[in-house]
Amino acid sequence: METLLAAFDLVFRFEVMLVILGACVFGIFAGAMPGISATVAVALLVPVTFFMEPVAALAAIATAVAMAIFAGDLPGALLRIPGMPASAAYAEEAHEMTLKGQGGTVLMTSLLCSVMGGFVGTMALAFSAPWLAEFALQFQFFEYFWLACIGLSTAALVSASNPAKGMISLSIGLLLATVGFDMISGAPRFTFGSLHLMEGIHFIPVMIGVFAVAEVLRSLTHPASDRREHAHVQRIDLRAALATIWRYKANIGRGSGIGTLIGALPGAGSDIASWVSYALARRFSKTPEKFGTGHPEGIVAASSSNNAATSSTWVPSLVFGIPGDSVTAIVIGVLFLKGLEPGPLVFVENAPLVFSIFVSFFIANLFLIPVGYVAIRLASQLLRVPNTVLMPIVLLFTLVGAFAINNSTMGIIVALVGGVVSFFMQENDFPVAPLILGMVIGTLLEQNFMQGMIAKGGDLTAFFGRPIAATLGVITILIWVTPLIAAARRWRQMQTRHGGPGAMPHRNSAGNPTAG
Amino acid sequence: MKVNDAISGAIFLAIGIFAFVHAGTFRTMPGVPFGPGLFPRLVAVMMGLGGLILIFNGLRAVRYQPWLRLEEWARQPRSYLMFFACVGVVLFYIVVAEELGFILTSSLVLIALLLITRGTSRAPSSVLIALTVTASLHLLFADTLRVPLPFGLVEGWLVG
Repeated sequence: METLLAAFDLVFRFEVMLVILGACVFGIFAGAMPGISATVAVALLVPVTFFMEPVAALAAIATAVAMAIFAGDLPGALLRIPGMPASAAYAEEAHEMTLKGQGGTVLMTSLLCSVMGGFVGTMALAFSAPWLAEFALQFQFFEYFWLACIGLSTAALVSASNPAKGMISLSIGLLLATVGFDMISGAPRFTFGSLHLMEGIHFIPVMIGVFAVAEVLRSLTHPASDRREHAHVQRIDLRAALATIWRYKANIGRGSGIGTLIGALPGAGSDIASWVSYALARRFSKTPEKFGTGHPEGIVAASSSNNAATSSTWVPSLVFGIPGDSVTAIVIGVLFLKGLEPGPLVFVENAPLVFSIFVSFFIANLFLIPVGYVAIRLASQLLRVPNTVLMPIVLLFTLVGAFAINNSTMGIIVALVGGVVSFFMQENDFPVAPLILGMVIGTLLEQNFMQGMIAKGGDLTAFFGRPIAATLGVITILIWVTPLIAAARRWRQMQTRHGGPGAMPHRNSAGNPTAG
Repeated sequence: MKVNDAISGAIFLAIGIFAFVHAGTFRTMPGVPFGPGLFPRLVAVMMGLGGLILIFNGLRAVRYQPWLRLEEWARQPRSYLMFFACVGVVLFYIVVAEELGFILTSSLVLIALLLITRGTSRAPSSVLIALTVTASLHLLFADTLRVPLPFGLVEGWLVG
């Protein structure tokens, strides 16, 4: 209780409130732009938060993400272009409702569902995290090593469309993390005599490059398939929205629950939560035939689900220091920069700070109602900003942001190289999130691994010596083996079919079905 | 712009081999059996392994996955103009920002880029946007967050 009061005291300050409000507006705007995903939004926000107090910085990120995930629905419903992967599951459905003249109402419904989902996710975060942290206090480097392995492996192998490409992307990140002086021996590594590289490669410019610069390049070189139609001002029928919510309250509960659970898994976030909830809503619906014709049931479930997941992804990040997705990977990087090592000890040493994150999530969700309402009213203007104007501005912003971290041109060079490399990687279906994850947890992973190795004299069985470590180790190995089994099975199938050109299963770059 | 997996695989295999060999040169502490090269070497093995898998897949699929495939966007000259314009203005910024100062460089970069993306017919509004954005960025980073952005000609006038 005392910690909660202390947390309120930390958050309810003029500057923090101002920051949250600013992050609201920024998040809504960024989320509504089809080119700017929540990750890109956070990548752009981090250089600014770099100069803030930890509470304000984390509150800003938490708020911007919550806003952006909702705002992705705006272009999804009005233009059928989801602003965010998390909105893709129901963009088509919401657009159908817009065609029926219910665009404003469906957005209002999805706004209120987002808020409720956000509350459920935040509650789950606030209650489960401290409890898990207490459990995690018993962990030693073996457990941390395996946890880091699980987080990285799910990101690289399970979420990626091609596990080999995920593995390569991850290894780039891990190698980048080793550049500079070694923590244990003090030896310079991969510095090639360069003074700049001896300081190590800062993760923020890399992240800005990999997400934001690459997105600028991608969206300017891939011009939109057609001139964007103009969105029209939509009438909001609040009573109808509330009636819809009441009718499908079970879906909100289920969607929020699923979102919370999926979000808490490492390597899965709001977009997967939204697809799963939409599919389940259809499965359990009494009228599944109405799905796809402008029926709100699935929208209700999925939009509460993706916002629930945005809060609960913070659970593994805060408790174990293992990020659930690329946004929380950035958050962990920010925590390290602020001198706070995420993990169970933060809950003991810095409990008010952790609780202030929970409080800011609540406030963010409260702010979402008025700000989201205004955004729906202004959506038609908001969506008129063309990429040809937006992207040059974003590019300049990335330049200044990458410079601001160390006040050195090195940051800009790193961001440019990162952006070009990431652009070509994404063109060839390499996922880039594992790269950032690897870079953020690389140091932690290596430290725990080396400490374990040195302490036990290289005895690998020691990594399985304690019950929790052994369990986590077995899970990790299962994650590693699964793609091999899958590959072997594919191989056998191809042999029986005499392996023709069509035999290789093709998956799209995102690894999940695309809308439209 | 998609290349056959064998090509990207070969690139990463080469990087992996290089990293593995290079990690062997790291100075080890006497008496500690596990030196600073161990972890990078494990990662390099992982990268090389991924590269090998890609080479294998790419060569097997070579009949229907060409060495280089240009998608719709990559066949339009405009896409290359955009790409090199973005890279070019960033390089321009890196080279001249210290000399000209932030305000002048940023305005030039934005005007140039906006003229390319939106066409020259909308020059007046492009200039206006560029100046507004530059001013806002300066206000946010230099004045509010106290980032020492490159000081130059225009900054000199403003102060003096």
